[in-house]
Formats: sequence, C-alpha cells, structure tokens
Amino acid sequence: MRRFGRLVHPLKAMTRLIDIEIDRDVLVRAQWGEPEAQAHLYLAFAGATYALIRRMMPRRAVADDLFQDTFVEVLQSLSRFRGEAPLGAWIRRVAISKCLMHLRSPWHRSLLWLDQFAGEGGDALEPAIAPAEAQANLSLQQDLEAALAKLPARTRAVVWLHDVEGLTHEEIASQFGLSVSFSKSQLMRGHLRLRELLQEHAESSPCIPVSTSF
Amino acid sequence: MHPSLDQLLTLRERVTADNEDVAAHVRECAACHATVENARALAARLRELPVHTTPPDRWLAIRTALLARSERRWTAPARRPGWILPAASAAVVLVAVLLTVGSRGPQAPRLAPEATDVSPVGRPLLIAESQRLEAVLASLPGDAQLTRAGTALTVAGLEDRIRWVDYRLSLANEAGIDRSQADLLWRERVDLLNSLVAVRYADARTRAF
Repeated sequence: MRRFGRLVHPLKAMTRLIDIEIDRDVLVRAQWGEPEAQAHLYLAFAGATYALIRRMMPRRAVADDLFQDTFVEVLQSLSRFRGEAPLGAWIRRVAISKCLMHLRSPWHRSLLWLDQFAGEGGDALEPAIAPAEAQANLSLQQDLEAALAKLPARTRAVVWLHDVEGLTHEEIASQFGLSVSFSKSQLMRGHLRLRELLQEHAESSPCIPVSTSF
Repeated sequence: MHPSLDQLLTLRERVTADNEDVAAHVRECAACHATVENARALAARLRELPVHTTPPDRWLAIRTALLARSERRWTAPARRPGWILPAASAAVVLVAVLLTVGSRGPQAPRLAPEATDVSPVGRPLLIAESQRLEAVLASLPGDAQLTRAGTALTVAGLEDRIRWVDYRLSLANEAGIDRSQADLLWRERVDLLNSLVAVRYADARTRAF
C-alpha cells in the first residue's frame, strides 16, 4: 500500500499559485477522491500555498494550521471546482480567505497583545532558509524579511498579494470585503514603511572593514 | 508638483491614457523616477525572497483531517425535518410522470444501461460512463435553477449519496477494499449519476414547456 506521509515539495524558488498547471486527468481523479491524485495535487500546490500563507502569517504555528485547513477545504470541496479559472487561483482564494478570517479573529488579536510582552513579531523573524543554505545576499534578504514581518498584518497581506501574487486592487478589495481605496492606501503605507525600515537598518548596520590588501 | 506615491505605484505597473501626464513628469523628475524604480526593485526583491519549506508530514495530517470530517458528516444524526420523506417521495412520483408524458423539450440524454444489462462490466467502462454522465450533468442548468423544493431535495439526496460513494472509493486503498468491491462502488456511482441526470433533465424539461 502506498503511503504519502513524507511528501516533500519540489519547489525551490518562488512560484505563484496561478502559474502552476496540473494535468486535467489528475484533477478529475482528485475530484473523485482518488488518494494518489489528491497527493499529486498536494505536491503541485503545497509549496506555493504555504509560501503565500507564511508571508501573510509569519507566526509558523498559525501558518501551519491555516495551511492544513486550506488543503482540507480545497480537497473537500474540489468536486465543486468547475475549471472556470486556474485551479491555483481557486486555491489561492481559499488560502487568502482562511488567512483573513484568522486576522479578524479574537485569537489573532490576543496573540498581538501577547507579542507586546514577548518582543516584536514573536517568531516572525525566523528566516525562510537554513543558515547552511545561505547565499551571498542573505543579509539583504533577512533585512527585507525582518521589515516585512514588522508591517501590520493587513498591510503586509496587501503588499504581498499585490506585488508578488499579482492581484489587482479590485481583487484584493473583493477578498477583504473592502474598497479599492483601502487596498491602494495599504499598499502605499506598506511601501513607505518598508522603505523606512530598510533605511533604518542600513544606517544602523556596522561598517564593513576595507580589505587589508588595499 | 510631484505626483502622489499612489500615482507613482500605479505607474510602476502600467502606463495608460489616465496616467500619461504622471509618466511625463517622471521622465523629467529624478526624484520621482527614483521612487518608481525603488518601488519596482522592492517588488522584485520580495519576489526573490526564499520560499518557506512546507511543514513535513503535513499531508498525512491533511488526509486524516479530511477523512475525519467525512466520517463525522456521515455518522452525524440526521437533522432533516419530518416533511423530507413525503416531499422526496412526491418529487420522485413527479419525475416519473414527467418522464413518461410528452416528447417536447430538450433531447433526452442517453442513460447508461441498467446494471443487470451490463454485468459483467469492467471498471474502465464504468469510469468512462461516470465521466459521460458528469459531462451531461454539467451541460444541464445548474442546481440553483431547480424549480421545486422537492426536486431540490431529491437532487441533494442523490448528490449526498454520490459523495458517500466517492468517500468510500477514496478509502479503497486504506481499507483494503478489493477490486470487485471497488467495481461495485463504481457501478453504484453510475446508477446514482443516472438517477441524478434523470431528475435534473426532467426538471429542465418542465422549464422548457
């Protein structure tokens, strides 16, 4: 009997959910509940879905729960997917909806309150890659990771959805149930704040000594 | 006067007739040009951030949660009101009458042969028949347009039973269901889909009158 307990997603670089394609036959079989097809679908979409959720929810435990909820809902309601839009767009919508529901919940507000005492961001600053996989530009990436994690949750979500996932302001407004102006103003605030935070960090970084061979 | 940051962020995405004046300003103004380029660079850096690794073994947890939810759904006590059975019976009678009266309306979809006629039928044929019936269902007007509450209940009941069959099929590997049992489930699925097509088709025809 084949087990899927140790599936590892093959994605290494950022891939947008909407760009992922899946074989129609696999989709149909997954809609009929075939475990192998569902596992195949999970393999294809898990990485990008988790990346999206994790950016919207830097707290790993929360992101893990929302990721699981997202896939349970996706697989449970897959039979209702009619293929009018890419499957990735549908999964993205479910994932964003789960994240926004969490942001509106009292549980999220209580975590924010606790963060005041535990230090900014809780585990938000955990880097996305292990030190062993560090690259030359790790420092720059960590600065950006840190700055992103310091944004208010809704602002961060709008910045990520717009600038990385490529959603329009109209689509973001629809997901939040708010106006286009809300999306635009959050994006603007996000860019201003990120710029400030990156600037602050650059100014506070220690000087790098000039090479002695100079 | 410099454009607002909002205008510059919009310009970063595309130049249209609406922001041509902003684009003209940015071509001349070094500060605004730098703002647009910085915003573009920031978006590019965000896209290049490394991907968080998917939590290990999460698939097993998802699969378990999925099965637990399905199980709860099918073991939960029925909460349907007492009038459901009479209403469903009335709907079935109505469907039978509609199927035997008149010949106007849309072309009747070809239904699968009776189970007794197809024995023994291989699973590939049953799967192919399931696909054909799904396609027929997709071509019929949606559930939301059903004309009668009784018909809607009958459709809901059939769809529930199909989902139940799907759930059992999804468990086939884990539960060690053998090939003949799985074939029976596929046959049951085809029969249920046939019934669903009949009900949905009859409802569509009443609207065509």
